[in-house]
Amino acid sequence: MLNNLLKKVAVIGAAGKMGFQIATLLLQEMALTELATTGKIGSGAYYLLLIDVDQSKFFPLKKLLKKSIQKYAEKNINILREKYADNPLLISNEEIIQAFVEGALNSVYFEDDVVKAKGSHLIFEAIYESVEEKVTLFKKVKSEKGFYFTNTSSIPIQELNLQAHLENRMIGFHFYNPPEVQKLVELIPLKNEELLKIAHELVKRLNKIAVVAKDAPGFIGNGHFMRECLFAFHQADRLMKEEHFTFQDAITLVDEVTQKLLFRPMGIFQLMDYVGLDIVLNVLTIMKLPLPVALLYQTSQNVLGGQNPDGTQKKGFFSYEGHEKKEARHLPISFSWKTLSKMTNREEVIKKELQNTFRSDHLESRLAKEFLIHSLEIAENLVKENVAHSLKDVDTVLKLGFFHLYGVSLIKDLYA
Amino acid sequence: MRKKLYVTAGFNTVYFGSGRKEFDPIKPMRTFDEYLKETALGTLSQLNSTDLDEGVIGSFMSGRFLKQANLPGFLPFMCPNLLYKPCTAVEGACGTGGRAIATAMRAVLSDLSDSVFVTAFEMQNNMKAVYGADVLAGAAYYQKERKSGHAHFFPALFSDRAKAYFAQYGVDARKGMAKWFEQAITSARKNPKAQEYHNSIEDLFQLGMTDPNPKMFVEALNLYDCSKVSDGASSLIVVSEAGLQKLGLRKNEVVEIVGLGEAEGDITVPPTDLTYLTTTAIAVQKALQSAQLSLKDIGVLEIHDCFSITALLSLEAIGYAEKGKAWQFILDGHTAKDGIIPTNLSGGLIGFGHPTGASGVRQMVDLWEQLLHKAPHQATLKSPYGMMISMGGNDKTVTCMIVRSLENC
Repeated sequence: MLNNLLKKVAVIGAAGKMGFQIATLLLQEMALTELATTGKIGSGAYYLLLIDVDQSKFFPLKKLLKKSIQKYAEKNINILREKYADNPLLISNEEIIQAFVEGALNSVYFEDDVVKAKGSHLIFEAIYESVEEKVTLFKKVKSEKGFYFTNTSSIPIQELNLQAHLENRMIGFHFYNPPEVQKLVELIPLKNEELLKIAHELVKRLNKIAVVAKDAPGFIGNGHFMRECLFAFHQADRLMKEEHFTFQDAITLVDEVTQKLLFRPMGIFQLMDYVGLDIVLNVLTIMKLPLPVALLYQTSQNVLGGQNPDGTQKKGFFSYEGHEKKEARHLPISFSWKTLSKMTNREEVIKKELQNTFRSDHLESRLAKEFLIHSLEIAENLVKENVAHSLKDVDTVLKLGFFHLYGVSLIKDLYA
Repeated sequence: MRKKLYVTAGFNTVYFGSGRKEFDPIKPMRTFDEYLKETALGTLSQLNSTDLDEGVIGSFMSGRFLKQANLPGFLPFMCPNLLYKPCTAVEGACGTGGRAIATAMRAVLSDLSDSVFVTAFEMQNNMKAVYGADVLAGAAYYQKERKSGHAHFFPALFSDRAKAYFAQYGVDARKGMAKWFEQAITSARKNPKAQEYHNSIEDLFQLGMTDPNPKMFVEALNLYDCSKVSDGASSLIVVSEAGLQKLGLRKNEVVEIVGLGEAEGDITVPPTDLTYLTTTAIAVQKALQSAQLSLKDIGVLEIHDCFSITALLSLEAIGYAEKGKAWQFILDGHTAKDGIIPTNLSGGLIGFGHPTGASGVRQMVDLWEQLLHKAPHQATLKSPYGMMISMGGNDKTVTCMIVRSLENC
């Protein structure tokens, strides 16, 4: 069934960071499917429509797609040689790869008018996180038979489904950044068994791992992350009130505690800078969670974090040089996230370190303990509310989606 | 030999590629003419006079890697003294180096020349391995074999040999291959110009025992069984007695070529026995006979370990180990620096690197250094004789040479 559906696919928002990579993944799978099922590629039987309002992005997009498909073909040369075994004209790796890339690109079409997506069997949406914009879009592209995949990280699927009258033919299919590398996909189903089955199969074909979440704002990923952010602001507030820290010193301390004492790749405030403060604010709004004053102020000053075109980090709560944070308290660090990520016995080591931290009375240790306990509480609530089926699912999201080295289950073990 | 022949003034550039600290695939790399100039200077600066009669240059696939042919034209560029003198290019796949030296020998033995500058090089880092595999497949019968061949063509050919070897002699042979890898890297760490000089991995044997991944590579070999993609150049001088005088060289700076065994297989015919290197065995026998020596006379060895399994099969073809026993021979330490037959103290193809056309000349340079007791990783030699085997393709183009230091002469 999926092979048939893959014959006509549309990606809306294809020029965006997420949209482009989603398009690449789909193109790879469509190309391989066409080759595997028909022995040919680029025959016209498979049709990937890439839609974006910005026409000027189409040519650079095509170039980037070519590069990505080529890399994919080079990596999977063993499979391709097998699939092209009956074609006597394609002999060398180079000839085979070239044929695959050319054929794949022949299946790609570009449009700037969203309506052209109507009639596609599978429609993927990766535009800006706005209910109105998404609803408008889906109203334009809906047809009697299409299936609609939204990459929203926070908007309840049912809201979009009802407002756009999609008759439950919609599913949340939330990729993590960057989709080409990140294994995690959050699936947020409505009452449609057939679509859920198709979605699961697609996740498998794209070589990803699915975690199913209930349709609650923020789902599991942002459901946990946003609430951790709020707690971080709360901790900073208390440091200002009770320990007379300045705002900058307070967030610097909380940031370092969450990075160094909790062994994360980035501290919580740096992570907010990385995601983009306007995005964090938007997600909190969608999730109808409280909006921290400091965040409102920061965004009103238009100092929003995010990335420069060359990938370096822009100023947010912190200033950056390249990717490095300038402000630091230089908390002593026992093991870095990087070192631990290479250790096979990292969970053991982390447990021991956290136990030591929990026993200490230093301010930073108390902050770490509080934060971690709260993190566990957030996860347990997500399970209680059935947003996540189990703590194990929350762990999967945190480890795969947020690069955590350990899940909340480990925190639970610390109390056992 | 109808007259005395010597090798001297050997030089290797760094054999460059992934593994070297300074390697960065994104940064621009040294061009081939820089390598050629460097190795020429390295050789010529060892001579008191640069009065050369002839030049020989070897490269396997410069035509494809560099789109460069007419290589003889580079010899006067490398050695200004060679301007308007006879220059020849030689090719024999990975056995190019051996053929280049043998060609120089012919020039001297025929009295056409007294001194011949021999160089060989290859540049392979400008191509991703997946495309380089197509180019290197030219060492086999491309038109008939490439289509049905593996994505990683040559590793697969030797993977088939390994598979046959395991089937016949047992999978414990993998331990011999892992030990070979360990020795190659251990030796490379003592050679500052080796590609694997900076390798600091602790448990090399464990790495060598890694299970092959047929999905991403080949069936019976892992990545550590394979020599890597390299850029590099080497050079030396082949001289007659008269040439020695002309260039102002002393006997303690040279080794004498006392044995030569050359054998060519039919490239269109697949190996009759995957567990035996027939052409290599014949070339070695010829060399020993021409030198009137037996194996026990050889004090140091440089063999063509394009893959670890090739090393095992070479040792059996030479006769150091019976068929099916080379893996144990290696495991028992007999090829180590203090073993019965110190082998590949340079690190060999796996440890030093394998710019395909250059390796044969590099092997001779390393033998020359060993026999003159000036190698970076020097063995205590129990004999003045050294032997090298330069092999091209799947045991098709083989040159075996035996050299001797003149210490006690």
